[in-house]
Amino acid sequence: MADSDANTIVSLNNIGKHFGKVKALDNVSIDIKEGEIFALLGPSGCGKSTLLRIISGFENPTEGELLLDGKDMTRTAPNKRPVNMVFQSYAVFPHMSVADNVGYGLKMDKLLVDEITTRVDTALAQVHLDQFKHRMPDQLSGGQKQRVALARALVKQPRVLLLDEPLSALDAKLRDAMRLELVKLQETVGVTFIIVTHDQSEALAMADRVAVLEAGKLRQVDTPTALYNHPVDAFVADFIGKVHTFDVQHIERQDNHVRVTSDELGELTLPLNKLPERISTGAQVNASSVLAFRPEALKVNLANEPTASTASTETNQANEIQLPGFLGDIAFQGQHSIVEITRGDKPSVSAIVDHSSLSALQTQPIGTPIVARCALSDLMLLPAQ
Amino acid sequence: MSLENYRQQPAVFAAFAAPTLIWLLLFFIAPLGIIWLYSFGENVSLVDIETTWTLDNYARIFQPEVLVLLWRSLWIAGISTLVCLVIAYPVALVIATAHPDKKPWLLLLIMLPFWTNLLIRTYALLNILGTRGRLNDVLGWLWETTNTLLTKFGLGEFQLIGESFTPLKFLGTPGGVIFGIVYVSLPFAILPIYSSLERLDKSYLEASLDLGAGQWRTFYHVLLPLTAAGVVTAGIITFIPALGQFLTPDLLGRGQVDMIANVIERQFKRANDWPFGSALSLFLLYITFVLLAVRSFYDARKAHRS
Amino acid sequence: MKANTKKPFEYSRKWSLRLVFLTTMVFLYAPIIVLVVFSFNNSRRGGNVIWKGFTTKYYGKAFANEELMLAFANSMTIAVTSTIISVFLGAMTAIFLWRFRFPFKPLAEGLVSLPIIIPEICMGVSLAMFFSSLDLWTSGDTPWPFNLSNIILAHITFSFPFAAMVIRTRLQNFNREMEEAAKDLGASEYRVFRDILLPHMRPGLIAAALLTFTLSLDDFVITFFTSGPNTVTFPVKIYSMVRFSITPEINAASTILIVLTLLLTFAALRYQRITDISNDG
Repeated sequence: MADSDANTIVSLNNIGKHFGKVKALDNVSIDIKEGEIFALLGPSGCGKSTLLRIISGFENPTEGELLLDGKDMTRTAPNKRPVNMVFQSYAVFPHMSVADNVGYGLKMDKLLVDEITTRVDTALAQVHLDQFKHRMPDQLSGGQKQRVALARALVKQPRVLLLDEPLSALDAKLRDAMRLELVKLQETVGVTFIIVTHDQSEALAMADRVAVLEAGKLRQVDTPTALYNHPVDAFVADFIGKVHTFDVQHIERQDNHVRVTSDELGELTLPLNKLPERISTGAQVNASSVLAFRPEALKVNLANEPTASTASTETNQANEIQLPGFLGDIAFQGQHSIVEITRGDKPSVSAIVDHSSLSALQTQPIGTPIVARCALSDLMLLPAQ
Repeated sequence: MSLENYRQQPAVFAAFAAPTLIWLLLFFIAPLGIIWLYSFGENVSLVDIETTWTLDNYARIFQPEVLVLLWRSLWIAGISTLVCLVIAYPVALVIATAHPDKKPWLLLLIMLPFWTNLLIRTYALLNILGTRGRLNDVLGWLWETTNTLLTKFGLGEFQLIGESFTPLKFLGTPGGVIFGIVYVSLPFAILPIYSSLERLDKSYLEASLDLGAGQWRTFYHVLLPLTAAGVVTAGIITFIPALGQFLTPDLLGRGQVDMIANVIERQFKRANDWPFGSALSLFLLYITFVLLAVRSFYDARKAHRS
Repeated sequence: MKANTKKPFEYSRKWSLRLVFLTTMVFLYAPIIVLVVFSFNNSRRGGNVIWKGFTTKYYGKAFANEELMLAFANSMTIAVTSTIISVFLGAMTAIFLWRFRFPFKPLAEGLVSLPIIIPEICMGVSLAMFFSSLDLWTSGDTPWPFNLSNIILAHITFSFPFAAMVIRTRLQNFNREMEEAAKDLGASEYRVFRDILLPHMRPGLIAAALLTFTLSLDDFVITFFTSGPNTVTFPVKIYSMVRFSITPEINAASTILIVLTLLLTFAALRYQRITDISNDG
């Protein structure tokens, strides 16, 4: 149960939603703080849109409660909530001018005409649409329609602004610009933004905190850096960026460290803080855990090249693991390159390599023996699911 | 976004659904119910009918003179439908493959006569099909031209195409009625074929032509099978109204080429035999239902296969 | 690489197919054009066999024919009344079929489309029997326009399913997020309907109105059965004139109706872009 301190604006407590036999949401509890950009992230069908529709009032949860600003609004009608939404299709009313669209919500609130005009002008200025006041929606571009939808929601001065996949309908270049603009707009107006997205880079770039959902369950709520560096499980690790995983056969807790046995990586001794609470330890085989590292943690050298810590064994007992393999394709990415390391019949791994280390590899033919190394401190021990 | 369950807003649902359903019940189902009751009834006086659950009215349908009428109605409607389909396919093909800017205008050209009053269209044919009508004018001119040409080539005395032109009789013949039915129902046949051609994935044709099949073989082996469903639909929705045609046989058949509807009309307007007229109307309705069932069976089988 | 230089879908450019298309057009239009041309034929007997010079006197005769003009007034009254009610009923039908999921929905859909499919004569006969068994407005001495009631009821019955079809097609491409957006901004169910759904439906309503108006004006068979002895519509009047004797006056009267239909069609085109014709297949 979340206690609603003054700072919490939206409080979702044990929310569940069933569509017939399908569980769209299962016991989800999240507290969203006032003034933050909060992202609901997950693959399609994970329940993030349903959660957004529960907050906006278009769906009622099967179980659990929703507090908005400390008040129970679980079953309040959408038109009675201090929450407004920017729809995925923007839903700009095609038969009303830009000004009429933005003023519609204020008209519903029965405000005086003068006040409506003033507030509409302010809102349109905020989204840089002052010149387009009298245009009809069919004379606007996709990006401009989105600004109308934004202004239309913000003009109501909601406590929370909901954005459903706000960037998915824009082309790549406009998307990057709009990302920045949305963050700036949030800083100006100070309203809490809740953004639904399936794009992890979008969530990481924009949000103060991100909730990762999968199959109706909440996996992790954290800041982008914490999600990236300390994912709670292999799903989150894989969803937030690329990760290579290796099955673990045995985990044993010792006084101040953990001994992990993996068929591929051998026996490793990791510090105790690498052991997540959810992993049970003991003498018995534990196959539901994995060892994982990210591609940028790998350093690649030619096999015969001497390195600082030369070792003939596969695993350096001191502070790193080594994966021998052969040079595969090199994909140039601008700032860095992605080097593929083929390992016979084992799955190949990829490493992110900067230009200084690349030059030695670039001259070599494909198939040259190489060694990839990863520091033990970069290894993550994670529950498989 | 999915549909709303009626239980979420039962009052709104009822408010919208009730007028329609009540209307249909009152002015569609009830009237059909009345002729259904009449079809099992007998005339007890000039205007009173008593429902005695007799099957005589249905038995009368199987009397020789009525069977002759039914058979005539079926073959006239059948041949008209076939002629319609044969004309409709190439016409639909031309429209479907025309330049996108021209397409809607070509379709409008097809539909415009369809919006014109059926009676007026049938009446217009009277002028065309008469013994001294325009069609015979055209045929006469063709005969003259051919005859002149033959004479020029020195074949005049053999009278290969007859001694003189005798105007053909269309009115009061099955030929005239078929001409009329084809004329009034052609748009029914063109539109379903057009829409099945529209929906067709053109890459099949490209593939066939790319693999070296000619235009005609592509037509027979690819185009026709792929649009068969549209042709069946076109056939059925042309055949149903054709079978129930009243005006065409009435005006162009001149009482000599009666179809079911003409006999039905006579039972109600002149012979005053409402029970038999009702039975005949319902019989026509049942034929319609059978045809619709055939179509949905065809659709279901097609859906099952794919 | 293509071995075949022919373009795949060039059937419309084959001269043989073009010839079939042109012949069909002649077949469809020639009778109507001949009818219109002969309405200006200056000839009395049998009227329209041989061209005897140009005159407009038969239009004068048609307009002076009181029975014909009464029939015309009847037809217009019936068309206007049945259009208003059909569009209203059709819109209700379209909304409930489009909006809701409910048991026996295929049955309801089938029932609504049945009046479109069944042979006209069956509907005409059944409605005639229905009205006569209820003894509704059949005595012949009901004052105008109430004597037209059963024709109007019959016309609504066969034309509102067409209206429902047209309006439902329009509703099908309504974005439900528009409705939610309006609610989100504080609109009540009624305001959503008035401000958002109704404006979206408008082109569909206009198209449906023009269609039902044309259907009502065009109908002969059902009207023929449901009209009483003193309630004659324009087509029914023309029919009885045709049965009596064929005169250029009939051609003139027919031409008036054709022109009216043409005007309605082009009015419809103003509200529905021409490209919509080829799009809804």
